[in-house]
Amino acid sequence: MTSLDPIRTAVAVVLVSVGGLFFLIGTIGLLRLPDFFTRTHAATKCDTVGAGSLLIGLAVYDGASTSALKILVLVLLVLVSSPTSGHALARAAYRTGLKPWRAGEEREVS
Amino acid sequence: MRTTKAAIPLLAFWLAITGSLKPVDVALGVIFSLILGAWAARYLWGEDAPVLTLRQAGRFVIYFAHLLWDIVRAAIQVGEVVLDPRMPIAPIVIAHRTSFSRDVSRVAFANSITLTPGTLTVDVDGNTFYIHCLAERFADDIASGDLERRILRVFER
Amino acid sequence: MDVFFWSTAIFLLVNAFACLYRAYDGPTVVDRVLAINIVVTKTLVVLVLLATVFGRGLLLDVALVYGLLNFVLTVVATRYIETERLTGDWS
Repeated sequence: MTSLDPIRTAVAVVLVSVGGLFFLIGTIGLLRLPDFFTRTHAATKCDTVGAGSLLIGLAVYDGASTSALKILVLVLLVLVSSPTSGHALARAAYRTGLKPWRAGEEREVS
Repeated sequence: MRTTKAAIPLLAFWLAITGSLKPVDVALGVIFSLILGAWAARYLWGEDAPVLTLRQAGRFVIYFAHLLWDIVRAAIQVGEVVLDPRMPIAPIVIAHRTSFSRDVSRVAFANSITLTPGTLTVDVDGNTFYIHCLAERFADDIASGDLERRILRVFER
Repeated sequence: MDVFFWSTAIFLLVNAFACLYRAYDGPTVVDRVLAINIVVTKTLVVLVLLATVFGRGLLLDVALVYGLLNFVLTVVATRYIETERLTGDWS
């Protein structure tokens, strides 16, 4: 709340907006893409970048403080856990026999 | 020895979380990280602990910077695909054989593939990686072996 | 600045609700788990936003535990989907 430094605030606003934009792309991807594997592409990448950028923006806004340090720990957590859980899910899907969608096929039905 | 190695990152995590250097807090942190470290050394330790030499650690920093850039590129590329009304994708699954000898490098390789543009690790069987690609041109990036060489340089040489 | 953070939080919550449609529609179990995973990541970021707006460090710890739980939830769900067992060796 005490942050009055205009440059730092501007950087924070840009990073938070970029993060929000990537989250939106991830959401659209999750809803639009044709099958589970392609959706995992969108989900892991956009969420990592979106969460990373947004959280770093908030850390910049907080400045040098304990909360900024905690937010950076959170960024590392997301950076490691997001691709790992994406891979775990993809492996489970592949091993239980879910066939990847091929170009030209209709969308799978439930 | 293993207990100490496991306890040091735990203690660092504790200090980041509590954010205070009061003797009571630090003492509690040391006690808890030693207890948890002993437990981790007993039950969680793999055969091959990720020990890096100083030079490898330096390379890791460079590799990490490169990876961050790749992640941003990957997200932008997903954005292009998703926002394009024609949805220009033709997914394929490829098998890629590698020559890693440590689990650390396999983990790093699998996660890096997932985070680089257009590719996703689906299954790992020994040194064979099954990779889902959004289109055939992304498969070429993996097949060129560039990423694999970078990981070999960081973790195995 | 608070207004900006509030609108970002609301924007993310709208996104999260859109993702819930994927959890409802499926069509496969893994799709649903993936959708919940995404919703939780967004919630985590909203928690950090609220922590910044209110100046409460406590919410950051909540967010951290939430993130760890998200990971554990996904891995356990995956394991169950793959082996249909929760104990014993991971094959």
